[in-house]
Amino acid sequence: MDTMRERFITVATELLDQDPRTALVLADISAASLAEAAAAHPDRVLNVGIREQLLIGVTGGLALVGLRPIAHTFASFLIERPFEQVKLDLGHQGVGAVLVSALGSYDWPAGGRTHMSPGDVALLDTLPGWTVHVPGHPDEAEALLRHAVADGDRNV
Amino acid sequence: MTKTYGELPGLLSRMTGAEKHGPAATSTLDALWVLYERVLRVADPADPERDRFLLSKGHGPMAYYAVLAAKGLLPEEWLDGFGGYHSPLGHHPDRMLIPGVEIGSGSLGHGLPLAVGTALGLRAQGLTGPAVWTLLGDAEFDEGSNHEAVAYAGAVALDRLHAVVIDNSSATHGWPGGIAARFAAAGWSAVTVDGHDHQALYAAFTTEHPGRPHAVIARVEPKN
Repeated sequence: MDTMRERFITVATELLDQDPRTALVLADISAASLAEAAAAHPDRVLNVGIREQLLIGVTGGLALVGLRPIAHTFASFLIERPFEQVKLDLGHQGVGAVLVSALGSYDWPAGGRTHMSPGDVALLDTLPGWTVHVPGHPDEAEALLRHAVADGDRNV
Repeated sequence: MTKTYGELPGLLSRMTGAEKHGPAATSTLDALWVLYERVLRVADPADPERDRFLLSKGHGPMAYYAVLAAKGLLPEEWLDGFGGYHSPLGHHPDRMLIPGVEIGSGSLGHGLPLAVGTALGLRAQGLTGPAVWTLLGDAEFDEGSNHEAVAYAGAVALDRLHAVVIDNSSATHGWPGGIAARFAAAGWSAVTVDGHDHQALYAAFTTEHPGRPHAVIARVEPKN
């Protein structure tokens, strides 16, 4: 069976093919696995490099002009590291995005403290209008991803 | 209904209570005026083909509000209540409250990254006409998020992106070698001009920059 991370790549690639409003913003993580999607949609699969503030800033800018962006990197660098960008570049601008981590908050214990994000769910709960899902199975992750991307302009 | 440059002081004087941000407000006045009078195509805030202007340096917004009012983009009467409890015009602009304001700003270092995303999003939709502009300060340039955006925008040749840096020498540790050099090193087109000279500003704003984003460093009198 595939992992949740692999399922994300499969489903995100499909969503990019199906809906021209969908965009995917990366900060190097998973970029190699998404090379095919990037080749098919060079203007909607954007890898900013190892720049997590910019990851969320670009996501906010895409949402401002009407796209439905998905931002993706390791959990520890998706919320905790660029938290002010999550707060201001999405919520404060009145726009929405889908943030999808590669692995969950504690999914790589061997990675040590730097790759754990014990506060990400709690941090998102301090912001208004967010829906937080913590899937535990690829099928669950797929259903939640499809629903989130299709969920208007909400922050998920 | 639009007003002239000479009428801006009258509009500014209607906003009292922002003394703290006074110098910050006037340092941007000429650059903002030239942009809104001669460069930006923003007459209809609902038009997807409009240019986008993102004020990143959200503090000292009086000049911005005055120019928006002068161009008929916000009701002139609102200026009287600036900073008041019921006024949509706060000490930092909020896009959810003010028509014609593209982003809410105040925390520094957010406008340029948002502008990068805006330019990428317009391109992804085939909207190659609109130009995207952002205005920041030389002290704001300290924020690392700007440097993430400068490096990336240069690398991907985001040529619809424009940054104006109002340089009043207020960055605590300065920018040895000049701010323009930082942009140029990342592959941007970059020029430095007198931030109060309207013709020089216009020439800098309209400089051709094929295949590269463009930065205009507008030097004004030092803050201290």
